[in-house]
Amino acid sequence: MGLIIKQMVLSEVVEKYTSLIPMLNRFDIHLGLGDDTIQTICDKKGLDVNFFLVMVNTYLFDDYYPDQQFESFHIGQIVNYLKLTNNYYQHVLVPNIARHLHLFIQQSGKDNRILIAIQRLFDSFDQAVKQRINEDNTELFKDMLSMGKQIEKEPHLIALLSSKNEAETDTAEEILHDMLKIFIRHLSGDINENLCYAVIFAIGSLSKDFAQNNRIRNRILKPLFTAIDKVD
Amino acid sequence: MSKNKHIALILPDTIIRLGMEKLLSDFFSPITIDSSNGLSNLAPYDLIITDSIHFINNTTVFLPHKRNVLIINNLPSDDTSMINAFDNTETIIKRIQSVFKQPCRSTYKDTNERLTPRETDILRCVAKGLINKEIAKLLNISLNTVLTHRKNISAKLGVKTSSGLTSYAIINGIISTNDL
Repeated sequence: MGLIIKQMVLSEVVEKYTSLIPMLNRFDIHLGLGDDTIQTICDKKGLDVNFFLVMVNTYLFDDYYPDQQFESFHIGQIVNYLKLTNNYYQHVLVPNIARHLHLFIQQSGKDNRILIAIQRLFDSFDQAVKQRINEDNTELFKDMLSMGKQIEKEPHLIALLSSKNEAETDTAEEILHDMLKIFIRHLSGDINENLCYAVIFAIGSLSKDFAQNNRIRNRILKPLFTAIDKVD
Repeated sequence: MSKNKHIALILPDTIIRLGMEKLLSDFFSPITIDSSNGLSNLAPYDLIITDSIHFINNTTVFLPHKRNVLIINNLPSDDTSMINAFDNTETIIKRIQSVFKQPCRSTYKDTNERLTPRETDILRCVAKGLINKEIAKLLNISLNTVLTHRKNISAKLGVKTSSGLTSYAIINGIISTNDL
C-alpha cells in the first residue's frame, strides 16, 4: 500500500496501519468504520478530504512532504486536532507510562537509589509535557486562531513553533528518549524485567506518537504560517 | 589507516570453516579471525559467521549481535543474513560486504567508553542543577569547553538531557540523592 488516497476504504487502511486509530479519534472518527471510503467518511464528518489526507499521510509516512496549498480555515481544524492530541497524551499515554512505572518500581528490588533516579526522570518528563500543553493552550492555539482569522500579523509564531534547541530546558521528547536509553543501556541490578519491558513499550508508543505529530507541526503548521505571513 | 576487521567463525564443519577462512583472507584482508567449532564469548565482532543449528540453539547470545551475524544453511534463501552453502563466491562476498557496511561498530565503541575524570566533574555539576555558564565559572573553564565536554558525555552515554544525565549520575553513584 502506497500513499493513502480518498478512494480507499478506511477500514482497510486501518487494518494495515492500526496506529492510525488514536489519530482518527482526534477527527471524531471511531471504530465501526464499515466499508465506507475515505471520501464518504470525510463528507459525513464535514472534513475537507484533501486536508484530511495530508494529515494522515504526514502522520504515517516519514518521507512524505505535503506539496499543496492550505487555506486559513484549516488552522481551526489543526488547532482542534492538536488539542485532542494533547488531551490524549495527558489522559492516556502519559498515565499509561506512570501506571507501568509505578508497578515496576513497586516490584523491583530494593535499590532505592535507582528507583529514585527513575522516578525523578519520569517526573521531569511529566512536567515537560504539562508545560508544553500549557504553552500550547495559553499561547500557540490562541495565536493560531487569531492568525487564522487574519486579525493581526504574528510573525514570531514561526519561531515559537520551532524546537527549543537554543534553550537549556529539555523538551518532553528529549527526556522521553533519555528515559528509553537509561532503561535499555544503563539500568542494572534486581529489576522486574517483564515490567521493565512494559514501561519501555509504553514509552515507545508515546515516542512514536510524538514523532508522528511533530511531523504534522513541522510539515503542515509551519508552512501554513509562512504562507499566511506572505499574504499579510 | 585501515583497521583490521575482527571476525568470528563459529562453525562445527571443518571444511566449511577452512573454506570461509580462505575466502575472507583472500578478499577482505587485513582481518583477524577467531575460529572455533563451538560457541565462545561473543565480543563486539565486525562479523560473526555461524551455522543455523548453532544460531537456533543460542538465539539469546546471537540476537544482540544480529546485524553482524551471517548464518550458513543448506536451503536457498533471499534473506541477506543467510549464506547458502551452495552459493557462488560472488554472492557470498556480497553478503559479507553488506554486513561490513552496517554502521553499528561505533555503537559498540561508544557504550564501552568511560567518562574521563573531568567529564565526571561536569556530570556531577549538571546533576546538581547547574547551568552551563555556572559550571564554566565553578570549574574555571570556558563555556565552549563545558559544551564540548557535555557533547562528549552525551555521545558516550547516549543521554542528552539534564534530567537524563542526573538519573544516570544517581544510578551510577556519581552523585548521592542527598546532594540534589
